[in-house]
Amino acid sequence: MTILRTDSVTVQHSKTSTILNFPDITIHPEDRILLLGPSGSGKTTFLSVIAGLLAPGSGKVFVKDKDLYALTAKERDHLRGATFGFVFQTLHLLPSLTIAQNILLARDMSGIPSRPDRLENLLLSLGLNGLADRKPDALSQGQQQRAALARAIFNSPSIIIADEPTSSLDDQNTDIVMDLLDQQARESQSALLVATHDHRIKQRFQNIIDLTSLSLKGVA
Amino acid sequence: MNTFSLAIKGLQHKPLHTILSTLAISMGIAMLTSVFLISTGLSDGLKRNNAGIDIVAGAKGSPLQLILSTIYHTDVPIGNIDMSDFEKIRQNSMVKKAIPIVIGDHFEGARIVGTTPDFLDLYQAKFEDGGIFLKPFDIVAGAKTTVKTGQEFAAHHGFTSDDAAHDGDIHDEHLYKVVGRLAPTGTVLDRLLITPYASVQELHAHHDHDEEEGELHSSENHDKTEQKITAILIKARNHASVMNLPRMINNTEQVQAANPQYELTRLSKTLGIGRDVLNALAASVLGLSLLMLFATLASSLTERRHDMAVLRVLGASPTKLFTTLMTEGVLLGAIGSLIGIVFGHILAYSLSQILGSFEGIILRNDLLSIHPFDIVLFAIGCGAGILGALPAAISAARTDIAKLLVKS
Repeated sequence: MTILRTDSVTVQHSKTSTILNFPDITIHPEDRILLLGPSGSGKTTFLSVIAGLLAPGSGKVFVKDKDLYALTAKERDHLRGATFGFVFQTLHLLPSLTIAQNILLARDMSGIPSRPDRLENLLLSLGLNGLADRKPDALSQGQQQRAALARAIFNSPSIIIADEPTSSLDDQNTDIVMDLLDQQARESQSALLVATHDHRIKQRFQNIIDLTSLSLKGVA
Repeated sequence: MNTFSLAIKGLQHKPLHTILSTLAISMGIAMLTSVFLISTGLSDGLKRNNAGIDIVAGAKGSPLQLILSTIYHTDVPIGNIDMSDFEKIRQNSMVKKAIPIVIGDHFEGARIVGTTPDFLDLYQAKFEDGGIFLKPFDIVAGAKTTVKTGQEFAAHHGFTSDDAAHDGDIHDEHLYKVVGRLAPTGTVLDRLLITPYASVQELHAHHDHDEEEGELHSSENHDKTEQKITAILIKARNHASVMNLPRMINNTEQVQAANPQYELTRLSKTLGIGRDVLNALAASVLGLSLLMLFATLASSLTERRHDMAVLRVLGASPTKLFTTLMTEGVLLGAIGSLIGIVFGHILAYSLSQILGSFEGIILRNDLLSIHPFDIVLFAIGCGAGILGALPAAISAARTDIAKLLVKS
């Protein structure tokens, strides 16, 4: 069973008019995949395409055997909320909401029901118990990162997508965050797709897609 | 966290912006509210107090002053006319009813009006206690006057208690006696003391002051045949009479006829210009608050672009972001207009105090109670909120998440 499959996806870069030809990928449950490439190599663009946020110039994306861009916008939004859990480089916790409200956005925006003790269990397993009613700016950087992770995995997503989760961290914290991602992915039986230019975490993955040598074709 | 609570959180995040935008809407709505309340209060009041009088006959001069002084009791009368003129007019076939009135005195600020029992019928007055006056110096008191049934008092010369020219000038040679009190009518009658016209005439027959404009006074020989009255309130026989009577009356040497309907139309045209200016001012304040709302919500959205992207990534549809921001706008508009409406009512109430000469015509307590038009004003306020939030909401719905993520 595959969760996600891409087929000859290309994206035209809006400014340079060059075309990015992305390699075909297939993601199965509990896969660990590293998307490696320097800044500007198209990692985030590719993540946007497979998550249904950016329509490709050509090619297809299948999520749970559904042609993602043949769905209506609403179905696509819903499928994204149900399938993907995102962890961003910049954390994007909403400053006006408490930690609990931020995490529960995953439930409220996707409309996917959850078990009543889900929030409490997550907070506990991530060492955030007691911080539920704090605002993000009252938390340490590490706590904020864990809260963002809690939100990403709240719906037990099929795929956890982490975009540059470690690039601003020292070696020690890089290990902590990667262990955490790995552990949470295992617990929720999710696949893990990490996009990074950080070679420090390379040895953790067997399945590496290197976008460094992504063929760049000039455009007519 | 539904759309509504997301909107509330959004507003709470920038309290100063929220308060300023709300206040801006409140100010516009408060101005609209007070201008509306006072202008409708005034024109309703003028209509209600007209009491079905078709024509007023009185001394020659300003017809508007004649109307204001004898129907609305807000201005001083122009002068007096002879009792014989009253007899002539009463016997005219075009006249259905002619009611004489004599004014010139007051007690504790309430005007004493000498007239006939017909005067009370104009306002469909009912007695709360006591009954109609039967002889001179009997008084029937309006509902809002200070006197009690059975009370005796001496009239003060002049028209109001702040009439400085007559301060301390008291008719203590003859006391009035209150024989009845009226139920409230919501008209100017509530502030009047009614007595047979002979009472006022008699008091002023003994009056030895120099002649002053607007005051009853008798000729030097105190001849009863030269009794004076202030004005005649006329109900005409039919529509044609309303047109023809004034022509006939105006041909006489001393008496003029004024048509209240016509004079009030002229008055409200004059007042209408003022009202239009104030309304335009209120509309521009509202327009300004709209611009402020544009700016506030747009800048708040720029700060929250990443928040919007996060919501999209978590599965929210563009429609959800759109409705969230629109809800913020509607909330601002609704709260702002509610505050504005309340404040507008209070403003109108305080302003009506300044409009002293129209006191008693505007029902001041009505200015504080809810008016159906408040719903329209509320809708206008919410509309301003919707309009103000629209640009930000559209731009939120169009948030290009991919681009935002690449930049981060």
